[in-house]
Amino acid sequence: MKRSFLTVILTGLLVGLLGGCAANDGAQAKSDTIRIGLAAPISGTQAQYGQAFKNGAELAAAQINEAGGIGGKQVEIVVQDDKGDSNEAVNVANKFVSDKSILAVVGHFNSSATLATAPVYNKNKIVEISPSSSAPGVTDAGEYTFRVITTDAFQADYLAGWSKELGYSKVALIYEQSDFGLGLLDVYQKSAPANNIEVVAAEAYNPGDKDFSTILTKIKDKQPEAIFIGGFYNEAALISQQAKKLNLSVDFIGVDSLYSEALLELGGESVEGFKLIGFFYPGGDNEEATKFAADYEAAYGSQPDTYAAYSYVATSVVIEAIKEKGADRESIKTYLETLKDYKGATGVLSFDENGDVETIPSKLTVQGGKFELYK
Amino acid sequence: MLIVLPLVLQQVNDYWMHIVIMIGIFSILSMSLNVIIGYAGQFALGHAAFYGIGAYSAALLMIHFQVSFWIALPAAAVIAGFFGFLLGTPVIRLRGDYLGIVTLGFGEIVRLIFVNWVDVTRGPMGLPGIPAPTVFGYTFSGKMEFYYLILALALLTFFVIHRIVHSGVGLSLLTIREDETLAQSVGIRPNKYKLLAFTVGGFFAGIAGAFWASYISFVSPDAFRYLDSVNILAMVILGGSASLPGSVLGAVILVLAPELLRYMSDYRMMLLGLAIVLMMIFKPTGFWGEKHRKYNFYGMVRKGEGK
Repeated sequence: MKRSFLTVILTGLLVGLLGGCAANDGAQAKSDTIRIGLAAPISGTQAQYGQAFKNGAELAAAQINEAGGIGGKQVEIVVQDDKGDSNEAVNVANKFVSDKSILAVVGHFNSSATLATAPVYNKNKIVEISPSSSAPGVTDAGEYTFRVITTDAFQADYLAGWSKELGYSKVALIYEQSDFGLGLLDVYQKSAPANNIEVVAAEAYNPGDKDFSTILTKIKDKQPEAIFIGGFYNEAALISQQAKKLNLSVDFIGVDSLYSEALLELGGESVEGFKLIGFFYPGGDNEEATKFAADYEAAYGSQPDTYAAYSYVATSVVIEAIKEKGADRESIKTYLETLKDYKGATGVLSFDENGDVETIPSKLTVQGGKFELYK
Repeated sequence: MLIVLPLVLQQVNDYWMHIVIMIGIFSILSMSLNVIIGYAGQFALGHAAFYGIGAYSAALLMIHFQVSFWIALPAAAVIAGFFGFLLGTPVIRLRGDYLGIVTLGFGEIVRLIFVNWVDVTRGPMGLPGIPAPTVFGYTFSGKMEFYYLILALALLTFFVIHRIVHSGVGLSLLTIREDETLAQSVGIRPNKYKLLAFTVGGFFAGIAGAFWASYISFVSPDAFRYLDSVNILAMVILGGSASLPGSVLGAVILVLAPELLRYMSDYRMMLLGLAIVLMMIFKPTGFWGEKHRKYNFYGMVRKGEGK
């Protein structure tokens, strides 16, 4: 009795599987659509970002489809889950490249997944354009690998230039003990002398630390004019609060990683006056960003985050390429290589010979509990 | 059949070739874990660590010392086996849940070392550019070559582990699994055999790791997480512990099912979980569980005598 029940269940599952396959293959046979792959962590610990990716890309496709598609053909986003795991990402990459109807791939989320899949995409000559992999080595992986986010190094260098404009001559660094934090520290220290800035202190913390009073007391003696927090918003909020308690009155500066609503929620009053750089700033002078935010809210009923914006931009660039050069894997690559001054929601983009994006971030500051453009 | 399979698959596409290669890798991993769990009865939860150690050793040897793949592969296996031995030495006194926790911790420590020892492993950025194997100046480039290589490695693993567990050593391992005190009373030293199981398990996981590194040409810590250990464990349990064909079957199912279920996107992992739970309720010995031996040293086992 038990056994027959089991057989029924297993057979049911198996039939379901095969049936699904058949249905799937049927859908792929349609040739009147333009298919773009999207590889994102739909399940797993990074699922929130995967969802943002998916929303952003699908919005870009929906907009072009409403306008009549590309040459009468509808654009379809084919979503595959890479779980944020490089093992799984390679499976996804192989699936994409072996499907001839996929013209380009938007993804992956993690730098490690992008690096792991780069050989597969490059060997099969298909463009992968990552919305979010910011590790320095990513675009060295091959000529078919692009990204619409700048490297961590670029941001630190840009911040050094801005520090000079703000008139700082003594800056202290508090950085996260990770490749991200170390990378920021390294570049900022190198760029500082050229901008007449003296780095008076560099103190590390571990992700998840709660008490920064020792670090701050040490820094207080050095009397810096500003503190650069090379880490994420949780710690930045705590650092600014504890600095207030120690009567340490300095400016705080940071990069894109601090640019989150969570910084305002966690930090409250103490993060007033924070100066940081960000790429996706709706409501400012970037009309594309404002328009994207409004469209996104109309479609999904929530505010887009940075990753949704990056994914939207990456997908739009690919759509633009197909519009200009036709539905062909190779011509998408040639288009991207020569792309100059594309106006997107995350700023004006151009790609350098490496496939890295060149763009100018927005200078932001916290005023009255909101991010405002710095003037 | 396995030899002509790629010719058929290649007609379909590279994706299926890749999936078959992944099945090969996970077959080796589940067979090697089966030695520890199925035969020696040691509930170890950190198998991805050995896989990772194998992958990183091979990658570092090939990148920094320009060692050929054919030397890096056994070297990585030996290193992973050595770590199996090292892990085995202190934890051998622990049993059951406690052993599970310690091995789990070991897996995490290894992963954290991969993440934080930036000078050597490049941390979360991973190690790109691992060369492919070459034979007499011919470099592996297609999936076909890798398929035959993993087929050979999987068959080798199957053969060696099969010989080990069907020898006197295997019988001793089974005795220890069933009753450690009894084993000691008849002169089997449990520590020696448990250490052997850990070493053999680590060794073959190292082979799988080295192959993976060379096949993908990139390693990063996120391929060797706790979840991957659990996945390998699930293959062993689903296929049937103490059964090598079972391990292979488990690998086939657990690599293939998530891929076939891709069309369900959000629900696939849930469905897979459900299938495993149902499986455990209705057939706890796995799909291809251990057949109790019909013969012992003295001939046929009478009914009721075999467990």
